[in-house]
Amino acid sequence: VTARYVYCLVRVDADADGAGESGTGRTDATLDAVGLDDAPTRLIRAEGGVGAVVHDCASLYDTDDEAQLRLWLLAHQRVVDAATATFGTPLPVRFDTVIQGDDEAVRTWLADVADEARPALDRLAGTREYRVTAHWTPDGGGEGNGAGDGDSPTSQDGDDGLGAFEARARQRDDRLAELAAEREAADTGRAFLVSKQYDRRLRELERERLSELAADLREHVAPATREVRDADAEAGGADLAAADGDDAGELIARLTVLADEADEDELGARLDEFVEANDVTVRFTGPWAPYSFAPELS
Amino acid sequence: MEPTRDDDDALVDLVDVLLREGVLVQADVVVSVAEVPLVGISLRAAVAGMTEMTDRGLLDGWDRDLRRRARARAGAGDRGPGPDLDPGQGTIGSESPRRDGGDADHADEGSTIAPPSRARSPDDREGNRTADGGGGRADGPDS
Repeated sequence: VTARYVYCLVRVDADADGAGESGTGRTDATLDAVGLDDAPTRLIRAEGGVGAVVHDCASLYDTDDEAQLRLWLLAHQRVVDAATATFGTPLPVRFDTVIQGDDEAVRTWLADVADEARPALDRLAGTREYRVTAHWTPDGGGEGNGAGDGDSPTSQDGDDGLGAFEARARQRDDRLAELAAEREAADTGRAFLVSKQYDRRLRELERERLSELAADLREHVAPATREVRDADAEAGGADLAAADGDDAGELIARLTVLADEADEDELGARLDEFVEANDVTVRFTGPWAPYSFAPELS
Repeated sequence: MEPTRDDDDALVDLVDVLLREGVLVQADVVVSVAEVPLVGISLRAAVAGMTEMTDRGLLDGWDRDLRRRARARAGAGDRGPGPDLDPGQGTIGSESPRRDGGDADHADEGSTIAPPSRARSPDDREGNRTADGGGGRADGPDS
């Protein structure tokens, strides 16, 4: 099977369009980066000012070998990076997208989608995608706040042994303080019920705090970004979000951010501000090509 | 701070963007298997094992722990699985039923790395994924 693995679409000079017409087998341009399995990559130009970075292949890519998979992913990313350096911000194509046919088939397809792809490329020019994952760590680790209480409801003496957030919550929230006092005074059976109420109220307060922090985070990053999305709002987002380990604290938000590359430093500085002002940790990854902000091409 | 692309966290995001995002080409000329790229599901599972995400993702934090303790204290009969919990909110582990036979190896690896994810009953696992909403309802009335 003759096919072309597509890495990304790029903006190419409209003047060069004619050069590739009906040039079967013509190599438009070679890219520095090698692709999956060290395949040589190249640019296929098409009319309409859009080109595709591809390599020649025979089928889809699939394997059970983890090391192999990792190499493929990194190779894909490497080619997209090289394309970014050469042609500017590309429209990254989803991993394992294979067009059936030869270069001419790719050109035909490119010409079909050029009217959608070109404005998208222009809109995304100069931008990068970043991922921002923030965790709340109210007590230095986010573990066990409240849980320790439930274990020994009668042994608490004042606020000793409470996490910082829980202690503060008792001072600020009348309901929580009330339940704490009630639990102290209750016999064993009733203490258990009260303890459940207490834990629930504490969780409510913690969720409120998480919402506040999420809003605060968005406010912080907004001025340095073009667009911010909640990565978890998208279908399937929970799969990889599971990597947010228990030791990281409570998840505040996973944001997918589109920003001008020139604003990267400011974005980082704003995240620093957010970290310094709150009991949080932030993971900041990128820059990626704007995978999440690329359109669907039919 | 500066963004990173070099550590495991970045790899997770890389996998995320490469497999879930990017231009999705919907055209007759695109080779695909039943509209789902064959590589996608097994790849994600494999990479998950690779970065020990399965292991790290086992516990969702204090809320899960809290609720397990509460359940243990209350006794097994106190509460059943929340009927409103959405089984679609899968962890990596819960994706296994949808995988084809070729992924059996990865599923086994996952359970080796993280036995609790397999040993736990389905309702428990789902409850953990929807801890906030499910927990409150499953606890029932306070008094």
